[in-house]
Amino acid sequence: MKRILRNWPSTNAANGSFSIGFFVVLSIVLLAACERSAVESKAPAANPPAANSSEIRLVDRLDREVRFSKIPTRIVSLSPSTTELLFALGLGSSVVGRTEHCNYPLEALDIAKVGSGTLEGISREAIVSLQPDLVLCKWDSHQPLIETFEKLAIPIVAFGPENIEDMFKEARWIGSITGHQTQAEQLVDRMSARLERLKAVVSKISVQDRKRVFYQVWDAPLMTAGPTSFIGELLTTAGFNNVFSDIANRYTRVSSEVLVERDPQVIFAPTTHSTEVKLESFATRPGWENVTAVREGKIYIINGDQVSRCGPRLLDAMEQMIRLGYPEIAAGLDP
Amino acid sequence: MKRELLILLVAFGLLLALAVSSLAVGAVPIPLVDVVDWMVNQEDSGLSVAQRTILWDLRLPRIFIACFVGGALAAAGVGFQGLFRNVLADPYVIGASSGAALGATLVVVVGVKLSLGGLGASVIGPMLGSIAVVLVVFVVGSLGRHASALTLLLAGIAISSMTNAIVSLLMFLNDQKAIVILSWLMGSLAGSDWSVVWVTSVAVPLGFILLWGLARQMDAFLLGDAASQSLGLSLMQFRMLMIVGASLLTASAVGASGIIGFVGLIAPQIARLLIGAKHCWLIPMSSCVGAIILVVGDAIARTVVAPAELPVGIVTAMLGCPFFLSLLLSSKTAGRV
Repeated sequence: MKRILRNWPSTNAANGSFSIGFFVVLSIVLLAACERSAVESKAPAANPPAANSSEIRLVDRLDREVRFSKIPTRIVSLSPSTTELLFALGLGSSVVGRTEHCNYPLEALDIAKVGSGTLEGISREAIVSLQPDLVLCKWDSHQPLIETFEKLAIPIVAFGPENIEDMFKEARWIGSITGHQTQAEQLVDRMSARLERLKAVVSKISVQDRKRVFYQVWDAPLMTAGPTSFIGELLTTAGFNNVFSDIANRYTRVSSEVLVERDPQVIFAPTTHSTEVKLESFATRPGWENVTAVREGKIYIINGDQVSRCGPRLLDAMEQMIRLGYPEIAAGLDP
Repeated sequence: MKRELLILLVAFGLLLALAVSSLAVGAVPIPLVDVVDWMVNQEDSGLSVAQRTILWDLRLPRIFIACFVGGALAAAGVGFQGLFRNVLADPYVIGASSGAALGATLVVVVGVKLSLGGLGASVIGPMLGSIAVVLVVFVVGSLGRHASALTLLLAGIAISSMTNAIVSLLMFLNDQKAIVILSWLMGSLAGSDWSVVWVTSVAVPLGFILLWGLARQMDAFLLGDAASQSLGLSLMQFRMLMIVGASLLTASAVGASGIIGFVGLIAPQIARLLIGAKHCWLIPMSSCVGAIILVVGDAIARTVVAPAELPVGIVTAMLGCPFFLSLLLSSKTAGRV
């Protein structure tokens, strides 16, 4: 110990000069950076804000106002449902970036990828390198991206419908900023008409014949979709009574006991990208062997890409649910 | 030249070289020649506007933050390891991470839009949360009549657990926002921008100098409470200054990048094996090692699954662990760790 204390003053001096050198170098670098950013931040202010009447404004899902002085032609879509919607509106050729999961329509596969879809999996660098003039991100899970791209003056819109009405509204948003209003109206009209036809068929099912349904989002832990999610809306519109209509969260864990007690007559489970859903596995869960849907084999695995995306194929998923759950009225559906 | 100084200079040189060359590494490859061209000629360089934006607005701040956060976590790690005389302590041991998580969660849940000098709420929230919880731990841990480092440690564990439970509860109740919180908890340097660089470039050196100034007392403190008091060390004052310094470093780090584990624990161990346990050398060396780990880790994180990205904590742990183990097994001084 004494040696340490005796040595201290000399080493201290050496460290002192070293630390001064370190911070001098650091401050030079930082000052240079500071000057540079000051110059850059002046640049946009020099241009008077475009006050022309052709400027399009949009208030997005986070109540942010986004302005467009020209029609976007280089769009980056950060969710599969948005990519599907863009293609359905005839904007496929304007999409320059997508996520790994954007796999529909097939043409989408040729578009450059910018990441895996979750926030931490998306590369901001890859997006910038595509020089987009519109980025459509998910309003709930991609918020930190907004901070980055606002600073870079790349228009970014918080997007992501959570029910069919929302989807119509957001299809019109895209239509209005891309000059595809007509296509947007046509899509909305077409889907609304189909929705009405489906509802007309479903209305033939009397209230007491409506089946209790369980929608399995995930098996372990057991998770389901609540009535505030678009899947919940889909189930109700397709004529089912969600056995978990009393949960507040969109997607949440539920108790296996309560499920057995509420005895669903039909179970839907989407295909997932990770593990295969096995029909036999349902009956082996403790207590489930007496659940009506399990006993009668009314467990259906449906296309996860259709039912898990609030996009233009949503009604396909709804029609499939009606066909599976109520085969007796399927004749009334469009062929 | 002293052996320790030489090692430190080599490490610092290596850090500079790695930092500059990592500018060439990312989802969008930009050759090192072009990077140098850009550094010299700026706007007149042959790079496209998009490439310049990537280098200046995305990559450079990220590398700065990697250096600061890595350096800060490592120095804070040395601080807490010294304070508890336990090499298993890390910067989060008395609640800094749980406090930061609570701060970040509240910001996300409540949707605060406050901004201070260009800093977003997502930076300020975790910083304040981290400082607040450490403060509570320190006050509670120093209350008892026989308050010691152990009381502090136990208070830290108890209060962290409770804070973490509150975070989990808030995530459960706000499932729509849970994914944002979750990705914050994983820690990432992807959201780095210049406003964060400014703040860390002030806060981190401040905390660092404070700890470095206490280096000699830390050497003495390792001898035990009684021995260090007999050498004239005021335990209460020392403990408080240590906590202020180390917590300032930790709070800046979690504010800038979320919770990145492992660096604060392992960088000091690696530094100790390379340069010895004397704190006047150990603190700067640990910071260099921590910064190197994070600069290299982040460069890998943004390229290995390109165009996707990995959370940097995964890379640092997978990278640093084998390196640390090989050092540990080959070192004659391993017993000193």
